[in-house]
Amino acid sequence: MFKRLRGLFSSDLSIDLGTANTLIYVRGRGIVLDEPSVVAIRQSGNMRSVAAVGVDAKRMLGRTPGNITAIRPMKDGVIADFTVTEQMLQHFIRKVHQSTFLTPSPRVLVCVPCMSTQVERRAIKESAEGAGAREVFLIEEPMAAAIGAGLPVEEAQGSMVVDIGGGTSEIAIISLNGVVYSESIRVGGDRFDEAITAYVRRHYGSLIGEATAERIKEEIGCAYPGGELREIDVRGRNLAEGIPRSFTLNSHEILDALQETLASIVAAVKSALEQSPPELASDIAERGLVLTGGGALLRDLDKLIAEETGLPVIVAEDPLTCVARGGGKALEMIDQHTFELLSSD
Amino acid sequence: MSETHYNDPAELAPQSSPGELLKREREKQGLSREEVASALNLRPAVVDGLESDSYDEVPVATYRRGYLRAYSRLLGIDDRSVIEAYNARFGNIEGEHRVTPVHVTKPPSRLGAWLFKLATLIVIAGLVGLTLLWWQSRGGNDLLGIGGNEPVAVDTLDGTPVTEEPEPAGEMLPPLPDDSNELGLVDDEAQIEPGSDVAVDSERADVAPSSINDEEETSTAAITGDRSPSPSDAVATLVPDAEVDMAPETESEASVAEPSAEPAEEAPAEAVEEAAADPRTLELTFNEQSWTEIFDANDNRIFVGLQESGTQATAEGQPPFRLTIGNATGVELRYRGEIIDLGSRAGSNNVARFTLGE
Repeated sequence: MFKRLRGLFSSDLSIDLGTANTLIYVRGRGIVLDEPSVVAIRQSGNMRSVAAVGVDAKRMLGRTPGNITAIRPMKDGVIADFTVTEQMLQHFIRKVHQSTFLTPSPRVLVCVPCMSTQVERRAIKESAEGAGAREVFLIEEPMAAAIGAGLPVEEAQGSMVVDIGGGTSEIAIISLNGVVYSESIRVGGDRFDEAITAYVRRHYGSLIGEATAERIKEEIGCAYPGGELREIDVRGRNLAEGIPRSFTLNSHEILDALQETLASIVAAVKSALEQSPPELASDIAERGLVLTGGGALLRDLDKLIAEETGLPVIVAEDPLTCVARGGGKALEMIDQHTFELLSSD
Repeated sequence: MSETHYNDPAELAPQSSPGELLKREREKQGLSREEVASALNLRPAVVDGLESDSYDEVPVATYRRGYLRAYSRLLGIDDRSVIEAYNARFGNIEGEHRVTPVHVTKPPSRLGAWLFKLATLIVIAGLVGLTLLWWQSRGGNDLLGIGGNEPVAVDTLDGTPVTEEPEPAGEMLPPLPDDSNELGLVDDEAQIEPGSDVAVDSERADVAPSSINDEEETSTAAITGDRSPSPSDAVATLVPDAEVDMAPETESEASVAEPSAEPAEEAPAEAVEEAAADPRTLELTFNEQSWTEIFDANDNRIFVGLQESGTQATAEGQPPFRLTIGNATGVELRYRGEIIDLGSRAGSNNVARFTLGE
């Protein structure tokens, strides 16, 4: 009864402020917003104004005239441009509120990379506050991802989660609602794109943009050899000739391109396993590890990690929204319990 | 990423369990259970469990579904159809695995929080109440003090001699009020003149103590330092004179000498003396800054305000007067020619509250 009343008036949000995408989960309604973390800024004289945010801004990425800059205010999982992040959050929160009749100052739970510094956490907290949040809670991303994936984090059993986001990959071993070991490497989806761009440049002498690289990754990217061969036609500017050229890439080439980046992720996973206490390591060996985040959608990444570690690897259902959903679940628990899953700062 | 291989529509029949789907597909592809188990890094027992739809080996729903999906992807069939079959059979309820903290750290529950807030409020209210009570009790003390002062004031006014010289007071006190009343009456009738008489009286009064109060001075040590007994005595002794003197004078002078027939040089002296003796007049000399308020018998505020040091003021009204004199030690109050000792009437805050002229 009380709970329902509270639920009626609460407008709590869980925000997965990611490098690539920002997701907002509204308590009781699920994911209501999933947009790229991109802001287009229009510069007219000394005045800077926001031209577009989210999907619209992403479409502008790399295609802007001189007076508009499309930027991604988050880098490596943390804030790179404070004011722009604040404006972006403000826009997203307002967008969520327009469609619903929620109070303008919600309680907000924001996910932060587990290895982020106090300064970075404070920056995220303050930008959320600046965007109109009444109260800001922080939760470490792998914890939110584990909750979102449905892992039994509260049990005295080790659960391992590998969250591969846009900017960072978070690896954590969780037991009893706490992070036993966590590792955050600044390797993620963006690095895959960069690797593909570099590969294309090296082997085809052509420049491709971020958006194209991302498209290549999504369509033919794979992490483990042996799958069927896929091809894609892309166009890029030929460096030698200076004119756009069309060429065809196949999945083996992309696998080759991604090799180095994938190796660093695998190494981090292995190192986490090395560092884990034996009891938890045995739990993980028994049940396996869970992949979440957009990186988990890379074809056969689970196979690669399974092969490399010898552990069962499962991809969480709907890996892109795991963190936001987990944050949402954590948000629901804030009222009921002194919530130890939350980050201390 | 969605590789949909609907190998056989018959397999997607709703009645087929996920285990059956997987097993059939595996057998079709000619894979052994062990091969699948090693490919998935799972124990063969777990694969067995998955195929026979008994999930004792995998208690957590997330892992079950994860294994099912991994298995179906390994076999190259659409994992969604397997998951749908699983959901149809076991429901999606397990997916909504609730996370509950394990450490029952006895969190401050909702009720607890409310109680805490309530308790805090009560404590604050209690504190405020106590403060008020204390303040009021202090104020009450003041009131009591005033109340206590009042009788004292009455006593001291009429009875400074009374309290301080018990024996003669008994005899002298009763006639005093009557006399003063008479004096007042007389004064009312002839306001200008009595001064002279009183002046005479006071002269006499000055003389009187030395002559009359010789015995008293010797008998009661308290009186010696205090001039207060003398006036009362003087008044007492003067009373007959006043009656005698004034009666004719008022008659004679009120009719004749009223329009300042008297010599000019006498006037100031007269005025002072008049003020000094007149029971309707209070004379205040402020040696220090002081806030003073005086009410007369009709509750009219006859004098109020912050007085600068070095000023003098007179207040007239119907006695008795209720006085409140701040910074009492810095004020000289003269009433009926006597200096009223304010220092002894002042409270701890150096404010004297008393009644004069009853």
